[in-house]
Amino acid sequence: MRALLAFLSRLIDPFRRRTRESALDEELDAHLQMHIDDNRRMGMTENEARRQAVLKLGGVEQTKALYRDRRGLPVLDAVEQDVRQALRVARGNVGFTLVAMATLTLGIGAVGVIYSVVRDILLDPFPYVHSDRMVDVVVRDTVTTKIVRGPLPGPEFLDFQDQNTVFEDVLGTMGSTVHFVADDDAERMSVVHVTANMFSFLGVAPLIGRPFTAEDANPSSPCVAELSHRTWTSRLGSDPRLLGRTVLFDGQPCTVIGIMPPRFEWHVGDFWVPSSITRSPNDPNNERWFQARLRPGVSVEAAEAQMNTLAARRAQLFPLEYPKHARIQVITVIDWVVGRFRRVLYTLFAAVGLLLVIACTNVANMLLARGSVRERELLVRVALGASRGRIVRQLVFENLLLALGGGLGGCLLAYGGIRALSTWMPRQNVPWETALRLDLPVLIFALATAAVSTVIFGVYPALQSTKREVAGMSASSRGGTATRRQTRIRGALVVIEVALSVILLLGAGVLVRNFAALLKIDLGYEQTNLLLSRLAFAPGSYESVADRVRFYSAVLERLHAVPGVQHAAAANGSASFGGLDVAVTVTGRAPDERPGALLKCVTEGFGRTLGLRVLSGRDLSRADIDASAPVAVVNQAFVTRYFAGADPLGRMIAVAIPNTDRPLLAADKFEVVGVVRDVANDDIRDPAVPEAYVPLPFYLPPRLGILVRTASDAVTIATAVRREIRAIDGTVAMTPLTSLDRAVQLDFYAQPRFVLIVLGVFSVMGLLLVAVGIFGVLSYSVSQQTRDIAIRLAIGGGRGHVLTLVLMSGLRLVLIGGAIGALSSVATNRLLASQLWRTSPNDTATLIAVIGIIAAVGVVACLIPARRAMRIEPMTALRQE
Amino acid sequence: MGKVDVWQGTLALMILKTVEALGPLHGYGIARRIEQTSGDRLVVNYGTIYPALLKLEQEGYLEAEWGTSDAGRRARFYKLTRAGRKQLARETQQWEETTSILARFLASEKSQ
Repeated sequence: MRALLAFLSRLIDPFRRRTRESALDEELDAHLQMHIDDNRRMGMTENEARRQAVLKLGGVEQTKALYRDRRGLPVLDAVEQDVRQALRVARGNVGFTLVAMATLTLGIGAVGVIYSVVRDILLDPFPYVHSDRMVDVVVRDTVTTKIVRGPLPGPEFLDFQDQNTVFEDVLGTMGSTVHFVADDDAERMSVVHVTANMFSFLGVAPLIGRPFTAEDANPSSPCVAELSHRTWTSRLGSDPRLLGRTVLFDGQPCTVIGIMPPRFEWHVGDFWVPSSITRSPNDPNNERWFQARLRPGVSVEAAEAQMNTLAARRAQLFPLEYPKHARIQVITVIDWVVGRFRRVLYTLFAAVGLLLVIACTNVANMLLARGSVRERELLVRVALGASRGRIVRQLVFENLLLALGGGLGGCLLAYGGIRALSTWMPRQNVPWETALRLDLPVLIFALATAAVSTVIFGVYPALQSTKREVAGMSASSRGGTATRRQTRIRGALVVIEVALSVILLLGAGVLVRNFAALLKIDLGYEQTNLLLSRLAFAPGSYESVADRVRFYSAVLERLHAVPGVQHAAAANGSASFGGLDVAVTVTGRAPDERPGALLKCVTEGFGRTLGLRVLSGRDLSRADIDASAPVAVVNQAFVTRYFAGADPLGRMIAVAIPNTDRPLLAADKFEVVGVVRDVANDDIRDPAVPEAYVPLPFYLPPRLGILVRTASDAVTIATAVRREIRAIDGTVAMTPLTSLDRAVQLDFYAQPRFVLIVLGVFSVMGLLLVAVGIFGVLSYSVSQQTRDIAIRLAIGGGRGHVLTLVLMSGLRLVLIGGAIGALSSVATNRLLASQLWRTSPNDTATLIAVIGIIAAVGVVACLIPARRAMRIEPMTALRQE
Repeated sequence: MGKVDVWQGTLALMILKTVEALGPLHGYGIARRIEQTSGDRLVVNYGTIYPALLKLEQEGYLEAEWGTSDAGRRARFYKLTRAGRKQLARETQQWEETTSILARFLASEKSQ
C-alpha cells in the first residue's frame, strides 16, 4: 500500500520537477551552510570548514542523481528525454520531416478511404440480417444473356418456394408506381408489394408503429402500409400525423401503420404493402421477384443446380415457359445491385495499393539516406560510450514520431476523404442502403504497418553501421561495400517507384481516352435546355381518350404561352428514350424473326421539341393528331431492318401491342409518311433500335411524359411549367421536373468521370512522390560523391560534363523504371478492358505521352542535385574531407 | 572494529528512530546524529541521507516543511507521521525478534 503511494508520487513527479529540483538545491545548500557553521565553531578556517563539509557530503552531483532517480521513474525520464530529442531532430530537419510525414499521410489516408469504400459497398452494404446469404433467382437466356423472366408468376414462384431445400426463407417482392394522395397534392409514389414475412426475412423492425403480419396480407384484410424514412423526411415533411393516417394509392385507401428506420430501402420503395401470392396464372399483379436466404453452408452453385432441377421438372408440365436456352440463375443480391461497379472498385483498390507502395518506397528511401548521413554521428556516440540500446531507443522514437505524425495526418485525410466521397460519389450501382463510413480496424492496421516499417527502415541500417569498427570509420563513411549496396538498394527502390507510377499514369491515360470517347457520343439531338416530367391521372378521372387528349392539348397550349418555352410536346417515354415495345410486320414482307420495335405515341410538336431531323417525307402534323390518322413516321434503323433500305413512304406497317390495358383506337395498320434520323433511344452507347412514331390517341396510357424545350436555362422555367400544369388540374400527379442533360450526366457520365478523377488524383500523387524520391536519391549520391566530383573538376573536367554525368545517372533509373512500367501496363491495362467502350487498352500515343511526362519529371527532379554537383568548388570540397 | 558501510535498508529505520527521539530535525542534523549514535563506527556519506529521506516522505512516514534552525538558518525539517510511528514500532519489534533468534542460534552453535 505504501509502495503504491510511493509509486504514484514518482509517477506524477514530471509535473513538479522544477520546484523539486530547486528545493533540493536549497536543502543541500542549507545543509552545507550548517555543516560549515559547525566546523567553524570547532575552530576551522572558512576554507577548511567548507572543504570538510563538502567532502563529508559526498559528491553533490551523485547525490542529486540518486535523488532524481528516486524522485521520478527513471524509465519515464529516459522516455521523456528520447521524445524531446526526437522532436529536436524533427525540428532540425523540417523539410525531411514534413515530406516523410506527408508521404505517409497520403499512403495511409488513401488506403483508409478506398478500403472503407470497398468494404461499405461490396462487403457490407445492407443493414439486413445475413445479407451475405441473400440471393436473387431469375430466368436468364444463356445465349443472349438477357433476362427472360425477372419477376416470377405466382404458380412458378410457389412451386419453387415449396419444392426447394436450399433456402431458409423466401421473400416475394414487386414494385409499382401509384398515384398517391395524402392531403391535396397528388404525387407519384413507389409502392412495393411484399410477402408478409418481410420483417422476419430482413430482420429490421419499424422505427415507429407496428410491423405487418400474415393476417394483413390476406386479400380480405384492409390495406396497410409501412412508410419509408427517406420519403417521410424528404417528400412528406416528417409529418408525425401520417402514422395511422389513411392515404390513397391509385384511389384505394390504405392505412399507414408504421415508419421504417433510415437505410431501409428494400427495392427503393416509398411504401411497403403486404400481399400474398396466389396460384392464379396469367395475372400480372401476381408476379414477384424471387429473393431468398440460403441455408447456412449451402453455396450459390448448389442452390442454382437444385433450382434448375426444379425448373426442368416444371418444364415438362409447362414447356412454353422455358424456351430453349433459358436457365435459372441464382445470384447474390450484392452482385445483382453492384454488378459492373465491382470491377471499378477493384481497379481503384489496386490503384491505391500501387500508390501506397510508392509512398512506402519513398519513405524507406528517405530513411535509409538519413541513416547513412548520420552514420558518422552515431559512430562518434558509440565511441563516446553511448550504449547501443540507448541509441536504438532514440532512433526508434525518432522514427515513431514520423510514423505517428504521418499516421495522424492519414487518419484526418481518410476521414475527410470519406466525407467528400459520400457527397460526391455517383450512386449508380451502389445500393441505396450503403452508408459510407471509415473502417477503423483498417486504419489502425495501416497505422501500425507504417509505424513498424518506418522504425525498421530507420533503425536497422543505423544499427548495422554502428556494428562496424570505429577505426574504419572514415573509410566506411565514404563508400565501403555496405554503403554501395545501400545505394544500389535505393536505386532499385526508385526504379520500382517509377515503374508503378508509369502503370498508374497509363491506367489513367486509358480512362481519359475512354471518357473522351464517351463524351463524343451524340444523342442525335440537342440535349441541353430540355425539361422532362411524367404525368399520371388520378384513377377514375379522364377515363375516355377524348378527355385525355383534351387535357394534353390544354397543357401544351398553356405551356407554349410560358415565356422561355420554345416548344412542348407529350409522348410516352422520356425524351428520346422509352416507349412501348411492339411487334411489327410490314405488309408484303415475311415477318422478321424477332419483330420488335419501339413505339412512341406523340403530339405534333414532338419532332420539333426533340429536334428530330426529317430525312424524307414529313413529320406528324396537328391534323394527323386531331384526326387520329393512322400514319407513322419511322427512323432509319426501322427502314434498314424492315424495309431493307428501300423507300418506305406509302408502305403499310402493322403494329401489335402485346398485353395492353387499352385496345387500339382503330385499325392497327399505319401508313409510313416520313423518315427521321436516328436518335439514341436505347443505351446511348448502342446504336439506335427501330422506332416508329404515331399520333398520341392510338395509345394513351394514364401516364405520359411531357417534354419542354426552353430557350435558356431550364431551372427557372421549371417552376412556371409546374404551376401551369397544376393550374389545369391539381389531381394530376407530376414527377419533379428534371433536365435531360442532368439525367444523362448522372446515368452515363458520372461514374466514368468519378473513376477518372480518382485515378487521376492518384497518378498525380504518384508522380509527386516519384519526383521527391528521385530528388532524394540523387541528392544523396551527389553528396556522397562530392570528393570524386571535386577531383574530377580539379584535374580539368568540365562542369558541363559533371552535369551530364549526374543527370544521366538519375535518368538511367527513370528510363529503366519507365520501361518496366510500360511493359507491365500492357497486362494491367487489359484488366481495365471491361470498363472500356470502343477504346483499346493500349495506345502508342498515350504511351509516348506518359514516357514524356515521366522523363520530364525525372529531369526536373535531377536538376537541382545536378546543379549542386556542377557548382562544387574542388578546393573547398577536397579540404573538407 | 573499523567503520562499516551503513546498509540502505537499515538507514530508513535509523532515520525514523532519530526523528522520533529528537523530534523534527533537518537532514544535516539527522545525518550527524546517526553518525554520533553509532559511535562513529558507521561511515555515512551525508548525501545518502537525502534519497532515503525522500523515499520515507513518498511512503508517507515522514512529513517535511521548511523552518528555521537554532542558528537561524532556513532548513527543511522532517517529522514523524502517525504512520511513521507505527512503522517504526513494527520494524523495531522485527529487528529485536530477528536479533534474539539469531543470538540464541549463534550461542547454541558455539556451545556445540
